[in-house]
Amino acid sequence: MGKNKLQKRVLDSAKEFIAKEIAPVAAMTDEKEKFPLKNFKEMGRLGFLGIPYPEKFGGAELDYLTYATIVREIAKVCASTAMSVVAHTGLAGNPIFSFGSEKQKIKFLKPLALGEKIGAFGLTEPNAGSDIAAMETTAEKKENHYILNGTKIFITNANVADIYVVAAKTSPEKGMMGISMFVLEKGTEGFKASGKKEKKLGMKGADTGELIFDNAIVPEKNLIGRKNWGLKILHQTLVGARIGMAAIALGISEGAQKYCLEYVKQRKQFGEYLYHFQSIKNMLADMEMNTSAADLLLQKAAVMKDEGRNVTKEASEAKLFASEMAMKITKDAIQIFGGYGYSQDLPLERFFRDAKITEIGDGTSEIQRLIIADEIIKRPT
Amino acid sequence: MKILVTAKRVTDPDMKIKVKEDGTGVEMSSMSFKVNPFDEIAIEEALRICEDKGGEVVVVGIGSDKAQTEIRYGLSMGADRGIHVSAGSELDSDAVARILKKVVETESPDLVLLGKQAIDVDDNQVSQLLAEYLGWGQACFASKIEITENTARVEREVDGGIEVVEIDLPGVVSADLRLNEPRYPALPAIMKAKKKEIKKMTPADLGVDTTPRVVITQLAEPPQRKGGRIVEDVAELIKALKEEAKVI
Repeated sequence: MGKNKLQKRVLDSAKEFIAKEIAPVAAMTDEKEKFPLKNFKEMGRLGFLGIPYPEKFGGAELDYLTYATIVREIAKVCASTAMSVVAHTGLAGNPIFSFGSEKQKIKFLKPLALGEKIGAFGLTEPNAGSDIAAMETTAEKKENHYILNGTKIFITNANVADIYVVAAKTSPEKGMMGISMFVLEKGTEGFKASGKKEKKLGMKGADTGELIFDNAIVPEKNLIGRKNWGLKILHQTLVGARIGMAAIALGISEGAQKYCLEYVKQRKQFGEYLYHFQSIKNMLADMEMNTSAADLLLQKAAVMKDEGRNVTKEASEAKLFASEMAMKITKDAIQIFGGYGYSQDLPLERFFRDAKITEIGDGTSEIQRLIIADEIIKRPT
Repeated sequence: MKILVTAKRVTDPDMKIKVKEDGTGVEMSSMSFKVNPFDEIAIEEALRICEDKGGEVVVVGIGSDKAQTEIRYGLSMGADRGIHVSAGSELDSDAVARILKKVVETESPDLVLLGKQAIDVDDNQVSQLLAEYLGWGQACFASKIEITENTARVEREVDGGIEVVEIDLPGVVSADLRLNEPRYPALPAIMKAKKKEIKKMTPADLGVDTTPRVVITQLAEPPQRKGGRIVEDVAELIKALKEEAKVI
């Protein structure tokens, strides 16, 4: 059996679960701002949460393209759920998988991949967003452990997670070269999620909170990779995460587009179906062209990553384009629906609200442009 | 405990079907296919029984090479191995039952669990025919199955209540809708299923003549519903119900 046939089978199976279990509760997940715990656990059992990881660490041993495709399918109906998945599998799982020790992978990655435990990733701080050199959380070495102090904010899955991957400065004098990554368990002395749940514009079903480190005692064996490897680990993690974010953005766009294509064939104004009007056709054509282009960029980045190539530029391109198009497409979708699009009776306004974070998370659009420009300036001319 | 289950390839029940213009069958070119939902329930039940008591679940599919997709689906749900009886043309229920009888004779399972009917042609005959040909006990339309030492205690939904049937094993049981809710196959299981064995055989190997005894001569779509009519008053309504609709 060819690889493509197998991927199709995996995808068909995932689609069925998404349509029958995730789609029906998507509106409620948003309205009640409730983390979809039941579906999350079930996704773990079905292998959705460890798609790119090896079987011995609880994964499905599939490629990144399949992972991105399934994230995209989830985002078509519920971006909040997709967001929780990428924070868990991509952001928390990837640093452990790529840089962790065998022991760390068994202890932390495996339960994440199986969905027995939930993962979160802590980088952003009140005074350090895109500027990671400004990070204030410190990790001071004491005998065979590190003492962490600081605060992390806007952390996806903060209040529901059991395993946290966090960045802290081990050599503050070295600026961004002095950052290290640690894996922490819920219940670690001196560490907790504050319990504050961020009220947000969109992605309301995804849990977002803050992490407090007050002389948190973290064993030395929980250091990921080596001391001061943080920048390298963060770079690789965020590049991978951007592919996930691009998949979410594209999924939201496709979700909105699907509604539009049905509606223009049902709704009549001035005695004609909406699709007869040129201004509507223009919007539909742009939607299609832009989702196709985003799809190609996403696939290119994912396939290149699966080939083990450097995808810094490609991941940024996919994420930047897909997220800006998600904003445009969801805005146009509401326009096509008019008042109905603005109403909460239909999911168009939810898609629109959910789309915005894709221009911010895992590096803002402005940062993506800097990355892309820097990558091409580096090239020999 | 060894259980033989079936996985028939049928048109996706969520899709709209269209009758071919010449009325000889259903337009298949644009259709997607799935495991017969009742077979899926039978597979789930077999897996649960074997998870509880230990044993082996063997999935049988009959049809073209494409029928292997549905056998693989059963394997990805957790069944241990598959048997594909390749048959090109459409088979009638009797041919299917005779093929299954031969497969049962080579495999000697303790239980054969089938969907009560396939949702494409809804014949609802194979389980009963198979039990007859084997000379085994049958319990059709099961809504609950309990396996004890050498018997199966089966609850069946009948009009106005539940009928309880006990059959000796080996026996034939067919699954009704409310027997269980089938699991979704996990992604790693789908990966593993591709490595599981599917044994291939033909009706000729089994010595079964598949010349159809039942032939579908004509299929037609149900007549289009006509629009309603608004009547002036109750008297006219009563008259119409009596004389035109003839329901009162």
